[in-house]
Amino acid sequence: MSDRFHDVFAAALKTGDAGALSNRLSGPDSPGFSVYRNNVVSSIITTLGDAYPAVKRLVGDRFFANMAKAYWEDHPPTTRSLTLYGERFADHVAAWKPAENLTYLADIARLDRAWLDAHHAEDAPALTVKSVQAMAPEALGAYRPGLHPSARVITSDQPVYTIWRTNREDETVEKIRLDTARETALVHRPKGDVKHRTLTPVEALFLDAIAKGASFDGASGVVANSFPGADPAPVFISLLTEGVFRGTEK
Amino acid sequence: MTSPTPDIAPPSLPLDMGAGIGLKGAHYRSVLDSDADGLWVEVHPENYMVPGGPRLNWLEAIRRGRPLSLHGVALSLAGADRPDKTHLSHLKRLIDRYEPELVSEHLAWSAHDGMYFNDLLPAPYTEAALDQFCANVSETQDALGRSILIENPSLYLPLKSDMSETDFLAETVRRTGCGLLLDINNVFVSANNMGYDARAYIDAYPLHAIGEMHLAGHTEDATHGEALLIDSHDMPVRDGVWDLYDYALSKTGPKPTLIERDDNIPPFEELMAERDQAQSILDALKHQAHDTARAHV
Repeated sequence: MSDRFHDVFAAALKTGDAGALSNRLSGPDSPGFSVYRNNVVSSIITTLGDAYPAVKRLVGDRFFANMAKAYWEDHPPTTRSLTLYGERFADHVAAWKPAENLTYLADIARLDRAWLDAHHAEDAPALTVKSVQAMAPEALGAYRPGLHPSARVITSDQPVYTIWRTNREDETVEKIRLDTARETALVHRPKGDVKHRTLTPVEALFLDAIAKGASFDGASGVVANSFPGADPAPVFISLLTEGVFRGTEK
Repeated sequence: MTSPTPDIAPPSLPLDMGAGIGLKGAHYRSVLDSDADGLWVEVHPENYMVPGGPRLNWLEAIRRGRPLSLHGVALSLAGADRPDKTHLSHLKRLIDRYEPELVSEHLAWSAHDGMYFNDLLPAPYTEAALDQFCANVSETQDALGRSILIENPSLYLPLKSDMSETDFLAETVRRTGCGLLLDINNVFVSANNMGYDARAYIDAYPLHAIGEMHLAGHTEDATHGEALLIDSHDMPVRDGVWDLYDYALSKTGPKPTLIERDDNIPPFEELMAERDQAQSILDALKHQAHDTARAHV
């Protein structure tokens, strides 16, 4: 009995059709059902809007609401906390027909997601200059740190970091030429607030190798192969100082 | 604020829990810096179920100086299923870390068959539903190792039921030993939408079990107007709700009271002005109780 009530109500929430509920009501009319349905749908739109603010700003509230509602229909939440809901939203945006001309939009969603993930990532120490100085040179070369758990690298064929940053931070957005350049961005939170910037191609390659489990020497070798003559040492030092590598300490 | 002497302080009122506010990210710094008497904060634990980050650290800093209430929305205690084990363990972890004064949930469901709806959905008040609900409350209290408060919902649909909401709650208290969170705005909204008398509801309510009260703003439905009030939490508390609050307090004495605001968040000072109104009502009641007690000495 109880099971059936919940089955019927849940089905009505999903479809918006409350017809099957009528014999459960003690009153004649059920305008109130729409309140529950609206709460469910609008809370999802709000949650996704908070998680993907640059996407929302780029397409506007109404367009975003339709896109978010369609995402909910395909991927309703299965966990009880919605703080990290919308894990596959970028793929949904990429496949969303009405947005097909906005070729950069899915990568903007990936950057919004990178910010959200970095913001809520596990608090973990980053590899410090001090602990690197304490290592023997051979040990350092062979060390495979991996990235800090908050670090995300987003690569795009378009200047998405520039688009994303201005839509996140500026009251009046910059004018951006779409044909300018491809961009790779780093989003991370070594501690405190989320930080982000573009990466040079050498930095991007170095981090990609580290993320895949390479040692520092291994990552330097990958860079040397693709960019003969490039010096990986300053790249290593600046990324180390920024706290991009996972720390050794507990 | 005058501290009431222990023998006249209602036992359910911790001395420093007067009127609190729902804690919002925009107000973290202001709450931390505030020196308001009686101020405490409430959060939805679901918003803090994240691996790490500044949100958890802010709550820890604020909690060091203020009483805390964890007000859950996702346990789905009036659902057809038993409480979700994973969610309970996440909640327990937060309780262990933050040691809140109060933990509460709703007479409502929000998940079914693996899908989470993120809304407080209604259940019919039947004997079968009561059995399931009480089993879920007990299981939750056992898992958390403490008693919880249960909040009355805002209702929008008249469901066929065997008993009144107040009887349902009273029986839950009797069977599980839980306490209650009386949401005054929800009483106002439900009474309006379901067509019953709000004061009669308070009269029939198991007042002895109240550990906390809620105040919030509501709005008229865009289509149906005053016939359908929505528990929107997006504006100041309405006059009729303040009146009902006074009525309830006249029967219970002061209770920790929260101003809930979840949308259209005002500046901290504006929200605090509303909180101060509740605080001064509680202070006046405490002084009154104090004077009465002195007169009897």
